[in-house]
Amino acid sequence: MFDIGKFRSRDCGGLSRRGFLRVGASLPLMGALPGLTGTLGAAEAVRAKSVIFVWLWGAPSHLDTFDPKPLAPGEYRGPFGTVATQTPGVRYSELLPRLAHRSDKFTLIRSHVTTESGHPDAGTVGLTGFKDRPEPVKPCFGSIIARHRGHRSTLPPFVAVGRGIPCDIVRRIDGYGGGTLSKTYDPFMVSCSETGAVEIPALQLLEGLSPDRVSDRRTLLTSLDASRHALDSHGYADWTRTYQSAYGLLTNPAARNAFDLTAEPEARRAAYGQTTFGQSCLLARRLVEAGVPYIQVNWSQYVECMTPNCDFGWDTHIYNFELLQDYHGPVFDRAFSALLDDLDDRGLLNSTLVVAMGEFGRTPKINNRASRDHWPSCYFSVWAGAGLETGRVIGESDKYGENPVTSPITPLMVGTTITHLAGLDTQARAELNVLDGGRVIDELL
Amino acid sequence: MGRPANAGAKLQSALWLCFTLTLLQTFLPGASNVFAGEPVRLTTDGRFKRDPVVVAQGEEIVYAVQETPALFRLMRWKRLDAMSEPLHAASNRSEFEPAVSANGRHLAFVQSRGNLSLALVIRDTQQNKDAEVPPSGGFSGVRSPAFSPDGTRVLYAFPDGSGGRQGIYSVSLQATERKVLIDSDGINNWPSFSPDGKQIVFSSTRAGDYDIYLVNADGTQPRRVVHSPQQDIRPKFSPDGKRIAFVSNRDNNYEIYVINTDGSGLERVTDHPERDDYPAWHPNGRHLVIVSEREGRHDLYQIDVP
Repeated sequence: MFDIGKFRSRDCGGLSRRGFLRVGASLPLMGALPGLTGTLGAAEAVRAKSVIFVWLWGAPSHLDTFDPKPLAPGEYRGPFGTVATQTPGVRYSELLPRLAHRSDKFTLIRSHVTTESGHPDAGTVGLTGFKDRPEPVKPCFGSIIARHRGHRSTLPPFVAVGRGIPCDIVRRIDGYGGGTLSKTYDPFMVSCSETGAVEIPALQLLEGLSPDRVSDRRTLLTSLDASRHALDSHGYADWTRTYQSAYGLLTNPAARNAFDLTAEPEARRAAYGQTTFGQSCLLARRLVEAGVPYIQVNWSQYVECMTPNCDFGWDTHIYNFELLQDYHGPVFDRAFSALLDDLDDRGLLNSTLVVAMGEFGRTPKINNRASRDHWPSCYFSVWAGAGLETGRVIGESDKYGENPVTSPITPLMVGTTITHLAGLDTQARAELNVLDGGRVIDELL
Repeated sequence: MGRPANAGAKLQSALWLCFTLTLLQTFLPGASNVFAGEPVRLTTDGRFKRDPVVVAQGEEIVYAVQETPALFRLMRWKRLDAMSEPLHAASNRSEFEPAVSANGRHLAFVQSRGNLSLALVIRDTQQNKDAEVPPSGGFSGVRSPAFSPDGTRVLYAFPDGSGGRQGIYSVSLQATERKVLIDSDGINNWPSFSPDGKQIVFSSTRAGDYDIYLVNADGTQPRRVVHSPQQDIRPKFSPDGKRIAFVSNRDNNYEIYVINTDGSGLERVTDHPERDDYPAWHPNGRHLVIVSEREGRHDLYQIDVP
């Protein structure tokens, strides 16, 4: 039986247990909401029907991953060696052997720069292309695509997989959502455990109802009305969206099925790894298959022992080399490789854009604590799918990885390129008043 | 024609023996593996694990499991029922890298105290009393505790904020009398004493990548005993002090190796395309308990040592 609020989940050992799917009062964006049709013209070329944006918040070290400097002095190079890739003359850190073997499936950019050096500020710039001050906060790339595509199916057009709105100790990333396009285009938040149990934590409005009861419209309306009365007028709009969202999701088996990882063969689930990030990537692939235009997978709260109340899991100010070797490297290498393979095997990669990056890089020179700090002056991104030419490296950093020696690539260019590939041309961006002044990364296209 | 009575009894005994063996093979799937030298899987939940330590004459294993994305919990696995239970069920702080004194009285482990802040806790389990090496302020942390064989000192790794160096220190059980034992360029980590207490084995990046070194117990006379162009980490003395088990990705995947303490007799113990890591000697010296990744799941395994 399938209950609202509960999603049957099965761990990789085949033992059944329950996960929880909760549909909540603050959920934006789902179902056929009146007045929320998109601006996508039928004649526009859309190279990326879907986008998977893998957000490695906390900022991975570029030297220890995709831009190693094996000839630099030890205080820059670090302990890790390099491995050859499928791309002649290009080497990655030894922490990424699987991705090195798949370098012909993506293109690497090594010349990113950003303006901010703190997590929330750089997070907003990284997700929107602009600073969060002065207000108003601009919309993030996923919200722009959600606005452009509109609601074409029961599933929401922008899903964020993670713990919720990414936050650090002080505050959240202001640019996580709809910004000037309104909260209507905030991401639909879900989380996914290492066993593949999916949770929509925003909650509770319909918890306890079964699909059978939901399909009885009178029962549902009675239940919803009770909840509605509990809301003040300020919450009414959110309630309406919630109603639509919940009803759409819960009465549509195909929509529900998109969130059910137990439908996947065990071998495929294993390929991604039994980690939260791995299963989150698998969920992203299922959402692509179900037609969701934009999925953001947040590497959320994964600095296991290090930072219990934060999401910026790559923020390795201490024990950078131990953490990357023991955890981050192998988990990312396995899951992201599996994602690329899976999309490719299913014929989805050509119509799906996959981008992985953080908000900045880390200090090329090892810090006093034998680790690496924030470095906004140089970092990397990985681009796959959407018909992009692969197996390339775009941009180059200097001999220590401190600065690009080629034209710098900015977050605004990232957003412009992602939305361009998703079908927003200059005119469409202008009509939405988004990504002003942005230009696409020509070398990538 | 009837069969002699004693022949019938022998046949019955033989059939019973066959039946019994079949039952054993059916219901004790690990048993045949023990004799075949194959890895024996000890846990089955598949969650991310690390840092096993074999204690109680081999009857228990203390290790850390990632219970949630934000919480590592110390667990105790018992051979008797092959079940694991939390060591500190009420703890809401991440705890990992356990070490147990030879007499079992003291437990040392790393405990998260907040944002990038790690303390070393030395717990007297009889007195239920803690001593600790606290974080030193800012982003700071202590890692990789290990007891001296006489149970009077605890080693640990700590980056002291001086030019990217990470040294090896020791303290008393009261977390006092701190001494710097190993101070070199680069990162030093994963120290442990030889069973006779005369040497310390550890990994160091002083020559570039992680290699394995020995020093005298007072930190003098460092000499490199394991070297490869890639990472050689987490060395552990065998109970007889003659060999060292360690992890290396010299074959482009993390595998378990053993080597004699003079650097001879290198042998690869595991061979699997997924990761094998965190070796811990069984007290009998014939087995290692390791964390193996198999089909994306992480579990404790016991393997034979050649």
